[in-house]
Order: sequence, then C-alpha cells, then structure tokens
Amino acid sequence: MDRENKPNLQVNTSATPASSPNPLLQYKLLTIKYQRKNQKNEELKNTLKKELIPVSNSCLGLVDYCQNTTDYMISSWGSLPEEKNPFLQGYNKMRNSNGNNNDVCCTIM
Amino acid sequence: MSIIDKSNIHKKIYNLQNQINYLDHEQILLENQINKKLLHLRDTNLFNFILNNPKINNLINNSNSNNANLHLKKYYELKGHLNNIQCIKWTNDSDYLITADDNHNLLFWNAQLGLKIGILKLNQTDYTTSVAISPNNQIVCSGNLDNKCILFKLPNYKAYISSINNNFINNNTNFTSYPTHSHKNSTQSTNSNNSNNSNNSNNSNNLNNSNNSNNSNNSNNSYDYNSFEMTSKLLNPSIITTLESPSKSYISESEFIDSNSLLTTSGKLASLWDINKKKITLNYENHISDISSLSIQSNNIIVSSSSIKNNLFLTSSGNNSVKLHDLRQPASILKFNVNNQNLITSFNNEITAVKFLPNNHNFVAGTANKDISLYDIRVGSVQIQNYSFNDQMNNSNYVYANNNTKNTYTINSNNDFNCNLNVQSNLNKKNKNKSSNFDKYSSLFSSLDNNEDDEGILDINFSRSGRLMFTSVDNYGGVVWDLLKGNIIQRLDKNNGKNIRRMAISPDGLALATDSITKNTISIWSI
Repeated sequence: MDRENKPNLQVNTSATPASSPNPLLQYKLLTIKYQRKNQKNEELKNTLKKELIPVSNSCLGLVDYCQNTTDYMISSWGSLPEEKNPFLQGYNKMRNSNGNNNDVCCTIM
Repeated sequence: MSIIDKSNIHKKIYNLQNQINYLDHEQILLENQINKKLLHLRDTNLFNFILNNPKINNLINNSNSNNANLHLKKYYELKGHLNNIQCIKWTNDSDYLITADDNHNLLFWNAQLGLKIGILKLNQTDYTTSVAISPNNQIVCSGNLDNKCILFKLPNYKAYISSINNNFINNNTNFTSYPTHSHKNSTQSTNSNNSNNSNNSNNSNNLNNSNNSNNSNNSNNSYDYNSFEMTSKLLNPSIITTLESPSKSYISESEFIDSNSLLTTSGKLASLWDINKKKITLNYENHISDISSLSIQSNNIIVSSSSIKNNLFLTSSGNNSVKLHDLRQPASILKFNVNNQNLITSFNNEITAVKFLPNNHNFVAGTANKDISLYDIRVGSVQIQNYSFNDQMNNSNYVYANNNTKNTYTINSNNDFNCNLNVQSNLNKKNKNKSSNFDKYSSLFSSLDNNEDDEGILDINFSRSGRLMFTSVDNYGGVVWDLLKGNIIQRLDKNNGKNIRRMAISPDGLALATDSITKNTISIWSI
C-alpha cells in the first residue's frame, strides 16, 4: 500500500498549539491517536513475525490431502459396498419393507 | 491553569505530535515489508502449480480420476415443511437431519430412511434463522430474529426408537391405536396414521391446516413444552434456556463447539456461550460490517501430528474481510482482505459465504460477484486460487467436461492473473481463442446485468476429500466444481435446478441434502 503523502518529521507550523482553543482537549485526542497507532504498529509487527509458508507448499499439501482421502463421491475411489453405505441400506429396507416395517414416521397435523 | 502548566501542555503536545509522525513513518515501513513478504510467498497459484509439476498433473488428469462421472443419486424427497426452509443441519453421526422453516417448526428426519422422527413447534412469534445441534444429539439451538437462542434438550432418539420398535413387536399394535400425547387436536390424528403403512408413502403426511392447531395449543403465551410430537409415548423436551445476545441484530449463525459451548454470530458480533452457566464466555473482535457467514473446523478428520486442532473458526463480513479467530482469545489471529486481483471487478464483492475445507488448513470465500477464492491460513492473505462462476458460464463448456480444452493460467510480471482460453466448443464459436483482455472484464459485464438483489454464492460445501466443491448460486442453483481442475463438473438436479438455495453435506461425506424453494422439500442425494 503506497501512500503518496509522506508525513513530515517536523511539526506543521499552521497547527501550533497556541492556535487551538483548548490545548487540554487536543492533548487528550493526541494521546488516543498515539495509542491507536501504536497498537496498529504492534499488530503489523506481529504479522511480520508470523511464519508463513509459500503458496507452493500449501498447494502440495492440498493436492496430497485431496488425493489420499477416501471420498466415495468421486468415481475413481470405486463404489462403496452396501454393508458400509447406510443410505443404500436404509433405502433398500424401505423399498423391501412392504408395509411391515417398524420404523416410525410421524405426521404433521 | 497557571502559565507554567500551559507551557508544559504545549511541550507535551509537541512531543506527542512528533511521536505520532514517527509512528506513521514506521507504519509505512512495516506495511512495505509485509507486502514484500507476501509477494515473496505468492510464487504460484494452484492451477500453475499443478501444470508445472508433471507428476502431479498426470495424477490429477489421469483418466481414472476423471471426475466427470460424479455419481450422486437422489434417494429421497423429504416433504413436510409448509414454508421456506431456513436452515438444514446434519447431526454429527450423519443419521439425522434437523431443518427449520418459516412456519415456526423444527423438523427432525431420519435421513437414511427418509422418515420424519419428530417436530418441534415454536411460538408463533419465533422466526428461526439458524439451527444447531450438539455433537451428542441432546441439545438443539434455534436462533431467531429476536436475537435469542432457544435451547431444547432432546430425548435420546435411538433408545426411543428401539423402545418403540420393541413395543410393536411385543404388542402387535397398529399405529392407529397409539395414544398421542395430550394435544388438543389429537382426535384428528387417528385417520392419517393408516396411510403411513402404505408402500409408496415414505414421506406421506396429511397436512391439515396446522395453523389452527397452533392457535389452539398456544392459548397462553408461555412455551408449550409438550409440543414435541411423536406417534407414541413421548418424553417432553425441556427448554433449557433462552440466551439473548447483546447486539441489536438477529442471530445469523449458530454452531455447537461441544455439548457445553455454543458459538453464535449476531450482527457484527461473534460470541461464545457457556450453556451451563447460561451466559457469554467470550466476545470476539467485531467486524466493521455485519457478519455474513461462519465456519468452524470439522471434527471428523483424524488428528495427526501435523493437523491443526479444532480451535479455530472463520467469520466473513460484507466489507470483503474474513477473520480467523481462536476460540480461546478475543482478538482475531489473521485478517484476510478478499479482493479480486482486478480492482474494477471488485465493486460488488461482498463476501457471502466462507467455509473451511476438510483438511482444516484451507478455506474458501464466496462473493456476491460469484467468485470463489481459495486461501490457506498458513500462507496468510495471499490468494491461492480464484474460481469465477461467470467465466465458467461464458465459456459454455461446463456441461461437457471437455478434455480437449487447453486452458493456460499464468501470472505475468505485474502479478495480474491472465487466462488464455482455447475453447474447442461447438456451441460458442465466437469464443474461440479469446484474448485475455476480454476475460479481465467479463465478470464486470456479466455483473452489470445482475440486479442488485443477486446474492451471488449462497452456500459452499465440500466432499470428504475436498476435491468436490458444492456451491449454490443465487438464481442458478446448485453447482459442483472440481477444486483442483477449476471447472464445473455438473449442475445439480437438472429438473429442479434454480430452486436450490441451501445445501449441507453429511459429516461422513456420503450424502448431500439440498432444499427446494418452490416445493419446500429437502432432497437427499447419495452415492
């Protein structure tokens, strides 16, 4: 983020303390401003210190995870046998039940 | 004030101003250093990385792992809601679904059988905006427009249902003779139960005018603790507490961290509640504008030495920022500014959805401009990859998963993301050999056509490996992306396409639940 206006290290003469009506108020405002800027700089220093990895390392980790985690929604992992697929089991159970099933279904009145 | 004090004040002011100027100077230096560091990290993006590594490229583009044949079949269509469905959530064991609608009802479904288990009727004044269920299936939270989270304690379903089944076998009774609980309109229920036993009606329901029943029950304004219906003897759900959030908005998201902690977002504020103590433990750092989405890390990954434990969550807000928080501290760890590479196309770029990938390191942010950006929390605010829905639509090759297209994605010296497309498509001969300049602005042109109410990406979900990204796009419906190749594999539910607004993937990765705006039903898809 480039800023076009670089601040001067000298005090602006146009804003001398003598010209402000309430120097105490100005002092309070400036202390608040100072604290906020100090805090922001501390946060920036913290982000600078953080150990970050480059994008290529992250991509490698992501590809590795995607390739090595079993995911039966993708055809390359094959099909899940019926014993392990509770949805297919439930579906077959409902289809073959012929009204003799004991499962509960409530109705909405 | 004496004259001496006055001159002291002036000196102090002078010193302070000097110090502030020094801090400004330091800030510029620090920002420049951070930018240099980020530039150094941004050495590639995901597609380039895959292209430039031939082994990985072969592995992914191998014909065996061609994802064009995504086999999802619709198993059930769950009918029962009378009004717009607000939220769909799976239980942690992937057995049950809990859904909330605008008719003040929370419905519980057995997703594997396609049957309704029970209904929770809320007060007429409570409009649920979000629903959450604790990992042990005992507590349900319903966050509503009045900025309150109502917590219910539920009976244990499985013990329930097995006891009912035992009764069936032992007593050999029909549904009709089961005593319903002390509801005032219980006489109406006996006729409808016969139809449940027929073959075709897995999801049958006789929808009498449920408004009448509500009015007769809630004659007093207190909660009807008996309003958990089952067609058998019941255990009353007890309302544990009502948590009221301090912000002045509504509860937009709620998630259980464990059975005693609840995370809610309301307005600009995210807070962590202790349920036993019934108060807020921690308020997290505010966003500048309202929080649009929340994502917690998934619990189902195997905790290895390199994986991050589940202490982090993400919140996104309308002013393009995503914040990463740790549950244990109020200040955010990282802040990501999700801007398009191109400032021109980022004018409508509110973030509407954010979601962790299953590996708990990466996350994606979807915007109102229908762009999805992939990030990694270990990399910082450098975007790893951008997925543009509008560009995919313009290229018209999404249906045909064409292996002949050669798309090259490069980063030029100005770090602009250029996309040179050689589209061998019969449909759109005009788009042959599109130059990159047009692509830069294609999102702009298409976004000008959108009306202001277009919410862009509504919801993002991932399959168990993270390879498949399911997104629901406003005015378009559900779409499945290949995360590593970057193309859209297919559109979900060609018959019902536009009507999909919400989606939820089961924690075991075997099923997907989608809603339908026009029919108010929920479709369960599985392999």
